[in-house]
Amino acid sequence: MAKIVGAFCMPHDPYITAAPPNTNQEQLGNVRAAFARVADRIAELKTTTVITIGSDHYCMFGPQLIPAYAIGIGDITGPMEPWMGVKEQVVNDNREMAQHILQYGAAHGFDWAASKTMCLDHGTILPIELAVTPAGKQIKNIPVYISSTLEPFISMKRSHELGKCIGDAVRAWPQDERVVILGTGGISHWVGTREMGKVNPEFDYQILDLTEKGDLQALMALEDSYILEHGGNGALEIKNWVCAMSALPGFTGKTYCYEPMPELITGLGIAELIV
Amino acid sequence: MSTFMLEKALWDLGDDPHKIAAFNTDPDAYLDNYILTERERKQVVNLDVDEMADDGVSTLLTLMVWIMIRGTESFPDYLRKMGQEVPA
Repeated sequence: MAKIVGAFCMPHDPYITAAPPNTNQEQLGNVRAAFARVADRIAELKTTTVITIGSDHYCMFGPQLIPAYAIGIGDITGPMEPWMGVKEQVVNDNREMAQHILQYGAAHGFDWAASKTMCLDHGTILPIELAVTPAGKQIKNIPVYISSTLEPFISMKRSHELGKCIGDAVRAWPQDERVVILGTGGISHWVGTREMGKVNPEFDYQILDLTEKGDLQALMALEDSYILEHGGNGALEIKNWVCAMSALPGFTGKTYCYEPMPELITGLGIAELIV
Repeated sequence: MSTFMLEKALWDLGDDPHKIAAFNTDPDAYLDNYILTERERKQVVNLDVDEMADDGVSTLLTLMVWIMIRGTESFPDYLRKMGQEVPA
């Protein structure tokens, strides 16, 4: 039987791999070291498949169609952004298990949008590049997109329900599979707005504190308006974290690092979710 | 129309490098493919990202298109255009 053996929350800031010249190298080194620590844990957990929950930034989807949530069930490539310093690649997929998650969802009230040829933007490929591939090239990937950054936004409640469904689907998969789930994005950042470059450590520590306590209810109670005011439009990506957390009930968190980096336009937090 | 069509014009630029070339060659001809108001056409031609943001256009798109057209090194200029004081 498949089981979830671990989960992590982490940023997917493309400037981690495309850092501008004025970047604080000590802070960046701490972030890269935390990603390496996640990779080590993924290897240590003998992970065979990673489900990465990410956002789109108007690269994968356009105004003509914005799905609430989608799953990659076939070929996976990326990144879409040639400037982010990550080599264009074919990502090792687990299409059989992805199909199972899709079908399990369909049977339980979740009509997934499906991509047979999913090209990932930084919201999913960056965590794969920094945390999954270094853990072992044999590890398979299932990319999941939720509409946490593009309007209409998915609700916190639906993110939670979807994450719970993903967890149930994994546990219902009859094959032996050791699964890790990544919730990616955040924490505070203002993308493209007049406040871009602002970071709010107070908000970020609030999120990390709730993560460490495993207080999913308090995270879910955060209104979009509150998140937008205190964490910016990019902080809505904590819905990706909530989705990941909801797949493994009863977790607590362990923060690996937090670095507020205005030059990378983001408060960067990385945590392990421990069951 | 609405800002949605303006978002489509921007998104297409980000999606297809050939369209960037077409836009750079003849912005008006490129924008003839979209139903836009004169104000919206002017905003795209001049990359008035601040005005577009104020009108409700996604800032993910305004940032993406700015970088696609002017390059990643122009990021400080984007911030200046958005009203921030950025040292030269």
